[in-house]
Order: sequence, then structure tokens, then C-alpha cells
Amino acid sequence: MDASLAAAAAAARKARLAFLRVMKKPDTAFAALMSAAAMLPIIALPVSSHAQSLEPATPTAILPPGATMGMRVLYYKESGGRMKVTEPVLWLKTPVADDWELSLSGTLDIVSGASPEIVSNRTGKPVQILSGASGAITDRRTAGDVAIKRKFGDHTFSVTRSMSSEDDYTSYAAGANATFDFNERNTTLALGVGKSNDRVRSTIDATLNAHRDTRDYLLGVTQILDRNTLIQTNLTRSIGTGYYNDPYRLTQSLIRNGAFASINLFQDVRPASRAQWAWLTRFKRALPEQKAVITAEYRYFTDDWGIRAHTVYGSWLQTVNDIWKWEIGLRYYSQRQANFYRPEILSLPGPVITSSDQRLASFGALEPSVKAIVQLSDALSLDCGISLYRQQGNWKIGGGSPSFQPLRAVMVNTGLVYRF
Amino acid sequence: MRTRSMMVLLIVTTLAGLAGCANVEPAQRGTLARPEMQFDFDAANAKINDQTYASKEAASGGRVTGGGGCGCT
Repeated sequence: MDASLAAAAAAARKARLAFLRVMKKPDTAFAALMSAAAMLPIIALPVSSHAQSLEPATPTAILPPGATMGMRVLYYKESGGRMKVTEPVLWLKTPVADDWELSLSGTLDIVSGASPEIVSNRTGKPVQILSGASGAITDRRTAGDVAIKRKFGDHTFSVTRSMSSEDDYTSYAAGANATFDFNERNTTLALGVGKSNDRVRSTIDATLNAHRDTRDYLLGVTQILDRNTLIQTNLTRSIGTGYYNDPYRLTQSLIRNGAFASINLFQDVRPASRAQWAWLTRFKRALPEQKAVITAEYRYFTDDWGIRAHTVYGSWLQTVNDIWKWEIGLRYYSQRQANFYRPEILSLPGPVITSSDQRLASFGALEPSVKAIVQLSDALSLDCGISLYRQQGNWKIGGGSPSFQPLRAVMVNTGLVYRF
Repeated sequence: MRTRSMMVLLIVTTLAGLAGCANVEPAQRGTLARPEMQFDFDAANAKINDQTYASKEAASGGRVTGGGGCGCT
């Protein structure tokens, strides 16, 4: 082996080991992700053909053809001085050997602002009181996941591991997924199982350290309908047990009993289990004459908390030329409330299971979006999308919760993708 | 129970409909192989969106298994 190549390889090994030693100390999800990333053979090395020639060695990133990597940043801001989230994500997907593929991603969530924590009817009707009155929330979440996929002819098998950590919540999840192509590869059947073991804590109650364990199952079919059209339908089942309460949330209710009135505080208490079904069907059709792709999605959701939800999404992606594309989309969501959702409690004793969390109320949401995609070079593309998200009680099909307070948010989502 | 029966009926109908679709030869799949024709081609984008909606709405699911949760406020 050429001396310079050997030296470079030794330096790379040393750097990788040093990095692993550093990352071993903090036992966090992000550290585990970075440790996994350090094992990737992406250290710049001279390509081997140069080792035999007299030409000077050229450092080359040796991610193989077919690999993609990217970065994405979401900026989310609610109006009225409520939550603000900045979320950068780094991701990588690469073939690592014949028939093997490795995917990695790391996420950082920075959350700040005020969150609704108390719903009070002292003024005559239930209103949300934001945490900002007593001090704004700041939280930071790190998350990472690793997936390894192996191809077996027309079939694939993959395993995933995900970790997420924040001040008051930790989640470790794992999954196994398989796909089977048949019908001359016109049909793909997908099967998946997953589990998540979560820990719920609280920054205001040091004694809280409860578990929430979930199992997920997926059955999906993707079908080629014609040379321009695809359809996919997925059914997922999620069964969870453990702590679902929101430890920060309270319902403050003025209760009248004859001539007497009292102010009462009720903790947020939810059932200790949750079983959900989601059925998602997606459709894509290319329109070659218009140089466009249309997408349509519908999801039906139901669970044993009494929630029923419909989600509809449609988009039009237009290719302008070799460099520019734009996309417009519209998403509509409608939800029926959980059967224990109560924005106020009017008599004593109060119910054992009750929550005033508006996310469990009846409401509808609408989100128009627009996105521009620019191909900066053969390998590099940049996209930037903006959407306006709005929730309102009377946007639910058949009418929503009367005391629902509208929510408005803007989302800006920017991504960079590099293809090797 | 009625909802569950309706779901099963709809799913069986959908699957039966898909099974009867015409075949497309590999040489005719140029358009279908394009990135914009892939469901969740940009997995990071799908994940960010799913997590945002899951923190503001009660419904989730339909896409993947093995994803972690969060204590989203």
C-alpha cells in the first residue's frame, strides 16, 4: 500500500476512535447517533487507483453513487406570542455494500414561548391561560435514528432504532419492516412491527417517572395502476399502555352550589391505555403533457378515547424547466373530541378521568402551502416551503367544541439535498 | 363495532380492486421511477411534518412503525 494512503487511513482510524471515545461519555440519543455516524466509511481518503499511479492523490468523498444526504430546517411560530420551534435535521442514506443500505438522521428541536396550561371558566366561559404569565417555556429535544436495510431479490428487510431525549421525556423505539414485490413488481406488500418504550417526567414534579409503552403494526400495499399512476394504502395499529396524563395541565372551574361558589382545580387525568387505528391511502399521478405531478391523500383515524379524525391532502407539483419547480398544496383536518374532554367542570365531585387539553377537542384545521424547488447542480437541490396552519372549532365537519380557541401558525421549511 | 366492520370492508374492497390492475412492463416505468413519484422520497420532511401535526392534533399514524415518541407541548 502507498505510504500516503496508509498514513491517511491510520489518521482516519485514529480520528474515528477519538470521536467515539468523546461521544461515549454522554449517554444521550444524539451521542448514540453520532457514534453510529462515526462508523460510516465517509472519511475522505485518496481513491485506491491513485495509489498505484504517479499522479498526486486527490481527496474524494467516497459515498457511493446512489447515496443521498441532506439538511432540513423547520421554523414554526404560533401567533399571539405562543410556541416557537426551530428544528434542524441532518440525514444520510447510503448503500454500504451489495444489497445493504444504511440511513441515519439526527434532529435538534428548540422550543420556546408560552403553552396553554390552565383552562379557567372564572370569567364566565372556559379560556386558556398561557404559561407565559408565570414564565415562558424553553425546551430542547435531541433525537436520532438508524435504519439498516437488506435487499433479497424482490424483497427487502429493514430494522430501525430511534431515540429521543428532552428534559421531561425520553423515548427509545425499534422497528422491523419488510417489503415483498410481486405481480411482476407491480405490487408491493409492506409489513411492519415496532415498539416504543418511553419515560415521562416533569420539571415541576421530581417524583414523576412513569412509563408509556407502545406497540405498532403496519400492513400496506403499493400498486402501479398505469405507467403514470401509483396508489398506496396503509393500515396501522398502535396499542399503548402507561402514563398519558399531561403533568403541567390543570382545569380551573368555578362551581356554584346554591348560594355558594368555589374555585376548584382538577389535574389532567387520561386513561392508562390507548389503542389507535389509522388508515392512509395515497395517490400519485404524473401528467407528462402538463409536466406536473398531482398527489392526493386521505387518512381515517379512530381510537378508543372516542376520537375520530379525517385528514385530506392534495398537491400540484409543476416543473417549470430543468432548474425550477413549484408546488402548491392544501391540507384539511377534522377531529371529533375525546370522550373525556371537558373545558370546564360544573359539579362536584369532578370526574376521575378528565382533560381540558384543546388538542382533544372537536375542531378543524386548514393549511394552504406553497413550495419552490431549485436544482442548483446535477447533484444539489434546494427547496423552501411556507404554509399557514389554522385551527378553528367551527371548521370541524358538523361543528366543533363551542369554547375552542383558534390557533394560527406559520411554518417555513427549507431543505438541501445532495445526491452522489 | 360498526366502524370497524366498515373499515375492514373498505380495506378488502381496496385490496381486491388493486389486485385486478393491469400490469406495467419495466421498460414503461421511467416516469414512475422519478423522485417526485416516490411516496416519502424525502423522509426527513415527512417526519418533521408528522411530528408537527402529532403535537397539535390528536390523530397520527398511517406511515411508519418503529418511530419514537415525544412529550410535545
